[in-house]
Amino acid sequence: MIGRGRVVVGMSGGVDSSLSAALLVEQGYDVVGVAMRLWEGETESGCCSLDDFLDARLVAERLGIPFYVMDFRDEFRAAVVDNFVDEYRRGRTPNPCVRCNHSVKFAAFWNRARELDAQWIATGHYARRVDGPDGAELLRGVDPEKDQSYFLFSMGRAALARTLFPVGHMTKSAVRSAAAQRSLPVASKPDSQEICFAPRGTHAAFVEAHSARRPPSGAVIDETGREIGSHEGVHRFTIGQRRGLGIAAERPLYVTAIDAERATVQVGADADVRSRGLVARNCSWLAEPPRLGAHLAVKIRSRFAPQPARITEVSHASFEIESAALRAVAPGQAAVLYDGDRVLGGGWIERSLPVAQPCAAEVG
Amino acid sequence: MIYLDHNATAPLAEASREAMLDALDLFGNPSSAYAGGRAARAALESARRTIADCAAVEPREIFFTSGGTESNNAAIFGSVDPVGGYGVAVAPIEHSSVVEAARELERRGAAMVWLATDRHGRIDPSAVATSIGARTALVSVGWANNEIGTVQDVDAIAAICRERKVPLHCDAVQGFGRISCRLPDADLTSITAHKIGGPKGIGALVRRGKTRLRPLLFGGAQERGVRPGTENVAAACGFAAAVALAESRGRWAEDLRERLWRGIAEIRGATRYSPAEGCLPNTLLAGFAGLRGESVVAALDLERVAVSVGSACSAGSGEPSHVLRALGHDDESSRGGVRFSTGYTTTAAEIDRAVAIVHKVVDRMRSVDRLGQAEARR
Repeated sequence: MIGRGRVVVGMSGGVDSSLSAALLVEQGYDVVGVAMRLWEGETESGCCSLDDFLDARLVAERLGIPFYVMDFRDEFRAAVVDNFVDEYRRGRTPNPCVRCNHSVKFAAFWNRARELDAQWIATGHYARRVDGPDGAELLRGVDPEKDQSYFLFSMGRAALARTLFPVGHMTKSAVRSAAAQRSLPVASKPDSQEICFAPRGTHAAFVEAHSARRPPSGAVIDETGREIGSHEGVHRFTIGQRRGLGIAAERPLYVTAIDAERATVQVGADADVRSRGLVARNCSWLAEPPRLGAHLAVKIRSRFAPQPARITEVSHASFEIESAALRAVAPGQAAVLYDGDRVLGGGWIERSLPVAQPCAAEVG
Repeated sequence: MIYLDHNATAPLAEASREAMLDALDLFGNPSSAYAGGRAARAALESARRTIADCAAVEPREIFFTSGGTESNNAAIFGSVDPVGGYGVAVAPIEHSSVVEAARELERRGAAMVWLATDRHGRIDPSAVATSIGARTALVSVGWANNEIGTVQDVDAIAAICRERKVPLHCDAVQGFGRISCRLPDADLTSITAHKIGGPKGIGALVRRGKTRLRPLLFGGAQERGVRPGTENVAAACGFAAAVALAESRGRWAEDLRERLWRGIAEIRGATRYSPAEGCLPNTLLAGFAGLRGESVVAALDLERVAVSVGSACSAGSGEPSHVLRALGHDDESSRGGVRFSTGYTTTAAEIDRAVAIVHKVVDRMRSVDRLGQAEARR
């Protein structure tokens, strides 16, 4: 074993994971690169394309580290893609990146890395792992534009203890210049897209293509339940959505509720998209669950700054929070709790708490 | 490093290196009329004669190509006219350069016939007789399978094809120089240099008699118009030296392969996919229950043992082996195959060290503390 032990780096061929591998080599780890084959794109240049793997291989060659392509397509399909399709069909808004981290990168990939006798795994995520008094802690990445800690809340404490995020303390521009300094061939490669297997704007077509039956069309209704239009399937909508409703109205309309069983999409005014809190289930914790009444911050989707929130119910499995600043709480997305920069954990949004209802009695 | 991947390629034999170094200075174009050209031509033809003698064919029956893949494609596309609806009969276990060429013909309109095999990949010659249809323009059979090692009775299949007046192509890339340098009795035969210690980038298509073969390339009279392009004289000389060496060594012994299997068989859940009889003398395709071939290959590489999951032409794709799948194994087993293939330079001491390392690696891989196994969360 060399120096600090063996680390298997997930190498996508992008600049973040490439620099991660380079930094680990410099820090004295015994570095092994692995490219995860997750999905078969329809095009040469989509995710997991041959070009990406070639880039990763080139970087590994430059660094003089072993490099392997490994197949995770079955795991990815089962844990990520099938869930993505199911959730949209159920009128919810899935988060495939969280699920991929949970089931593929910090479970299946970890297991394969262990098979290679690795003590550590590493990824190019913008998040920081630090040692605290009670073990490893997950902190936001220092680049607020790139922070990916939200996607990592369910990685689990066991995986976190053995994971390195070499670029989490850097900004994206610092990563690019560090990569250029080291003449890594991917230093100026464009950033990857958000959802690797279904490019932005194509998710509805993706859901249809991967469904045995096309989701049924149905009615668009207003606050009073009156039908004001029709739609081509609930999978095309997310809470808070304004565009693509296909309804001419004098006021701006937003999706406020989706009922997959009745195939209805309800729309309303901006005020109707606000909520005073949410309930999250299937929680994962990277710290002890917070105490009742604790004042924390909550993040309810990836492009959303954490907002002040108060814990009104909590158990290992679920929590309820209240927050004055929540808008477009979408079931299926993750609600992640932060204490300052630290990720405590989170859960999957089950429902929002409507503003109109009276608040529950104050506790604690 | 312990190199046990000779079915992917073999180390360059010293005799082959020397022959190439000598020939590299013969810079003349073999088609040129002056002395330098004639010298190059003489070396090329001498190489052709050496290979022909060892293979027991006529020198004019040997057409140099860039290697096995080109020879297979040249044989298949050169024999079958898909526009006329003619087709090819192949087994699904053949090398991808045969199977994919056949599939491409099918896309262009050809009629495909898949030849059946038994569980070890053996083609029953009498089944070939019943598979040949009126529009079958070519039967293509591998001499020895690159992945599982199974050796076919090509001569028996050849007799049937001759009776039915259908030309037979044999992909002899893995068998040539290992089973024998003498080629089986096929009308068209693909051979290559680098599996037996010659250089990469050269092989040959052997055409017996007047077998019909349309060229794929046009633009010169080299290789009698069948394969135009300035000849790679040095590589041909290296090829010939490797063939002469293989001929002098005779049939490979199976003892190292059996020594390897005896060691590996002691591992719990080890499976031998390769047949014990009727197999390439150097090839062992094995599996280890619960482990993926690609992970075993990576873990062994980190211990400096070089093996592969099967054909190098599909390595790294993560696809289950098309060979194991065609032989009726499920996807999990078909992802589990690990191919060990010995060579001239392999020693018994290397085999013993490799066995010890395989034991260590498989034990370790099975004892890993796994994450996420119990979680089947939505």
